[in-house]
Amino acid sequence: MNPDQKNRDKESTSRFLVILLIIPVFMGCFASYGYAWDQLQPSQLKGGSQIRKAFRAVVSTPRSWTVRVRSNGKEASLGAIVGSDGWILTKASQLQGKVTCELATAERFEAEIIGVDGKLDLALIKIDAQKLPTVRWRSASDPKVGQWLATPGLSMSPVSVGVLSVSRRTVKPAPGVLGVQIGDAEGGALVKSVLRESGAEQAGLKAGDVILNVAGVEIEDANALSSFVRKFLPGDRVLLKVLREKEELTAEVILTDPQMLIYDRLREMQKKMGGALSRRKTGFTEVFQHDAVLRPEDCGGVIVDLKGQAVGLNIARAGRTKSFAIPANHVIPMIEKLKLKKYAPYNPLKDAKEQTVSTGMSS
Amino acid sequence: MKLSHLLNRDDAANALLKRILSSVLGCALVLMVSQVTAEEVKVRKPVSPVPVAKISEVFFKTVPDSLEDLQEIEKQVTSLTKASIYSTVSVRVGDAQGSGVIIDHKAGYVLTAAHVIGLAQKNATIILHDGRTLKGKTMGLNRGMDAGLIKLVDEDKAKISKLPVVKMGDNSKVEPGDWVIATGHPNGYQAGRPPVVRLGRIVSQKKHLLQTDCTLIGGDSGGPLFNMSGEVIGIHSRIGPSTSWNFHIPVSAFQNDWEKLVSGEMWGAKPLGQNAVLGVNGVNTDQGCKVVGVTRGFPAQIAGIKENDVIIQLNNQRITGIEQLAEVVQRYKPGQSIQIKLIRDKKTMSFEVQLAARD
Repeated sequence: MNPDQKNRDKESTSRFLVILLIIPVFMGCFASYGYAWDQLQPSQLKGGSQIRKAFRAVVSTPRSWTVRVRSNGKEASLGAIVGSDGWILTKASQLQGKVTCELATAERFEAEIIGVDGKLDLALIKIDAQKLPTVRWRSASDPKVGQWLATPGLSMSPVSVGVLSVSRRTVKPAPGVLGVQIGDAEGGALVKSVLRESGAEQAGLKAGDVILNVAGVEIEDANALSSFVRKFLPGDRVLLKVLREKEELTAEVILTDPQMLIYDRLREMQKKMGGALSRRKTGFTEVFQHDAVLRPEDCGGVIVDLKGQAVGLNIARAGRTKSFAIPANHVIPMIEKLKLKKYAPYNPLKDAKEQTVSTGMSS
Repeated sequence: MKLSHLLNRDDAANALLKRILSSVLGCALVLMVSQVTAEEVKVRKPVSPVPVAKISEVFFKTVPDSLEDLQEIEKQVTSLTKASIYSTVSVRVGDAQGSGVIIDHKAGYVLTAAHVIGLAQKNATIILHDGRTLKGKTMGLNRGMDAGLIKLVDEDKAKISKLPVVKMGDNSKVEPGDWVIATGHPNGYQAGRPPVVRLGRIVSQKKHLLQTDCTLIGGDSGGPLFNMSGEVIGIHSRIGPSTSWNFHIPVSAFQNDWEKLVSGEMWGAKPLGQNAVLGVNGVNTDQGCKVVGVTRGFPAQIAGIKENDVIIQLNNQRITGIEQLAEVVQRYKPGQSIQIKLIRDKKTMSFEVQLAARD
């Protein structure tokens, strides 16, 4: 009996110990929920503020060639100073209305749009300034997959950092859409309904409107409208002539990526799952893909390697996992072409037919 | 049931939505459980390799704080990208598309996610990084963990033996803050685009799940997560709303049950409950939710709900719109039957619908 008793004692002791052990472990788990000491802090994530701080030396010069572009007072894009006398490249489809630039020195200038290339979605704008620092390009060789790429903004730390995900390739275009459901009407296309958050909604189109003319081309019926609009890219601006209650109106519509309009829920989810995307995010002849999480308003400026050389120009936030940049050797030849006004800025309220910028009209 | 072969825009959209949803929820649709015969293969349990070459000091720092640190990280990452990309494959099983990683070129084993392969003994198509395709067969899967195994069965054994492989690592050594590389085929395989590389860090390490800030999306499922020694430590499984919510199955889920996976066993079940699905898309109207699309093969279509029906009630709950309908559906479980009241051609009708699980 005695040894048995002993055993039982031992058993209960060990049970007691086990219980004691369980409680601290459990409390440990509990504490970890509260204080998350076993979790990486947001600032320590790849794109977090502490990591970006390590890139300050990398972007100390590049940020001096970077400008913040505002359009009608709102942040529209970043830009890259490509000529010391005030020439700046940026993302074209982000610009609308009055354009201003802010330099890293905090100076502000009004800007004039000189040239736009719809195919690359590049705009050359000009500010009245002299002796500005200009972009140092790296165009002889491409960065390697896995190499760091930083996107400088105006502040000390870059706005975002990431690595090269896919070396240069072509990204096929998605057609632009107005964002309306249409039917036939006499002398045009009838707007049956306007999709939420589409360019058509922004421009104030309403169900019952009859679209008569798009970018100077008479529209005969619903088919003609959809096949003509498909020639443009998301982000392109087209001028519409619309008949509303016997009155002829004009509306400027920014075309939308059809993917963004499929369903409200899909769009909502996309927003929730990775932030807003660029309006124009497909249809680039050559782009690098990198994994930096960018806001659409942070596209249009340079992206640099660890040596602070510009390997390209950020052109789109294209998905939760991807941002696109045009390689330096594709950007550089465009600067002179755009200066020559070979690709004149498009004013949809004046021009009409010339405006098929996106689809192969330009080089 | 006759299925229409017309693939319209709604279907494409639905497919896209489904793809995103499946990656979001990352849950497998369990259709049936069948007896599978064990493959005649020699079971070779992969062991964790002995620690490889020492890695740089910077990888033990909380954060890199100098240009030199960043260069050091870059040096290591770029030295690993080639092997990471080459070992990553695209996996197709039926309509499902995901990613995978080759870890053994003798027996031809590819690790992937259970929700990519669905069932054992199914034909799989494996697309290598350079576009070459190989035949595969799905093996075992642990649905609870979302771990799935594929065996390459291509006639051309020489082709398989030359494939690039990577080793599996040791999850017990993984810690928050570790730098990691993710590869895979986001949004599915695209000709001319090799597997896509992303860099990130381990956010948290739980027994059954790793979280990183390597951004993933549908199509990445089943792809590998590598440590800074180039070993696979995780398989992409699911994502959450923030870009830092990317979840991977620890590779230990494969190592611990290797024999079961190789023998083609299927076990575990995704806890059901919040994943019921009706299969309609709609718009909000004054009366209720107007159906603008029914997904082929989903409960609403099977029950006879059609486009332009206006759903006004689900059991005792009044329906006011699509978002609210989705919320109400979530209160039920897959397999449960519900009553749907709707208006068609100005007449009120009632339908009984058995909810399905979202795949």
